[in-house]
Amino acid sequence: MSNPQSIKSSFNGVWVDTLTPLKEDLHIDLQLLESHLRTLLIKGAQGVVLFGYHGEGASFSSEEKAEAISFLLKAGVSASSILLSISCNAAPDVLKLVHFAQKAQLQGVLISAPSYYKSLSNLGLSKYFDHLLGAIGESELKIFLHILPIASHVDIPEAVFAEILNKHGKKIFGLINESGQSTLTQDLIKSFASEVKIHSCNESDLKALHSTGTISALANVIPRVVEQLLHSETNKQVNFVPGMKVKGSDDRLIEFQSLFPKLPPIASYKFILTQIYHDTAWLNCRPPLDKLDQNLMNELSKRFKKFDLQTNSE
Amino acid sequence: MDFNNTWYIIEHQKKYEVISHKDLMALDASSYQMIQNYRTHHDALMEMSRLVTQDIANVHEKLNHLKK
Repeated sequence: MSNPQSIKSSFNGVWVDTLTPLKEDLHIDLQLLESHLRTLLIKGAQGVVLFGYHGEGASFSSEEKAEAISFLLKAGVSASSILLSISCNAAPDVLKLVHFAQKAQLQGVLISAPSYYKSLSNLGLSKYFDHLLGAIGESELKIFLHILPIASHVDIPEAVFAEILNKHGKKIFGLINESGQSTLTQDLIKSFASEVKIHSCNESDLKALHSTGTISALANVIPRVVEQLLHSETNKQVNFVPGMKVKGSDDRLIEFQSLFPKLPPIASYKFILTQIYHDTAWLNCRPPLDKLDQNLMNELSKRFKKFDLQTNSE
Repeated sequence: MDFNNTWYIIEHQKKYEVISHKDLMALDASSYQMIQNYRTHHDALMEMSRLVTQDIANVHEKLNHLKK
């Protein structure tokens, strides 16, 4: 059986599902990534998730991921500030990255279901995770199961979670729901909150769930707004926006989300970073993803100016 | 992470500036906009050079547009 007290002890704050900057040749721009991480951490992010969905994780090889993380560690970014999202199809590739993360003493890893196959059986999924977790030795590395159906096309059913937690509960630090479905988070909390911590990546749910920690893509741009949402009962802080009425973090989150109706999130968030950092290098996405077309960029630029981001407080 | 020996690019009084962590902490938070944090003074200066060069190019482009 798992030990709920130790499991629930320390996943707090905002962990940014970090966008990955690319050079013109589409290799990772390591210097730009480093300065972005530093800026997020100084703005109050607890840590970063590298190569998650919004970090275009599926577009990079294991070697590229390991090389980027090694560069960041050498540059002084703390290993305890890094979670590595692992979304490989082949179990040996997953294990290779897990072992790398263990050796590098990263804070933890997020492991999602393989993405290639659809309509996987409960038994098949259970065997997959059983094999993986059985091959991972005991270590300080925090392992999160990552529900990411937008990328993996696989919902991990509750029966599978129950089976995994029963067999490997001690190794599982938490469940991360990046499905965007609030009802799924609530169901998982009802079923498994006594065994593991359940975290939602949906910023709009954080207050209602009294979340203490989250993984957020919006935090690439508004880390402090997301951070304030985690402290619902103590959230008396508001942002003073010149020329506008006093607004709380809820209002600013809704305003920010309304900038992107039906726009592709990764390209849109990258475009916003070009506006903040005054650097068009952030536009690059690795194909098959692509940047926004010029009309959409012009429109989003207008909306973002109107949003009037307060970079020191948001 | 320890940011004590790091450097920032800020927009302060409508100009880009490179500033140390200690000096940034002494500024009134409403008087500047923090852009990015850098590990070394050199990295921050290089980025400021890029930003200034980019601004000059943008002004040139606007002037050329006006001349047409």
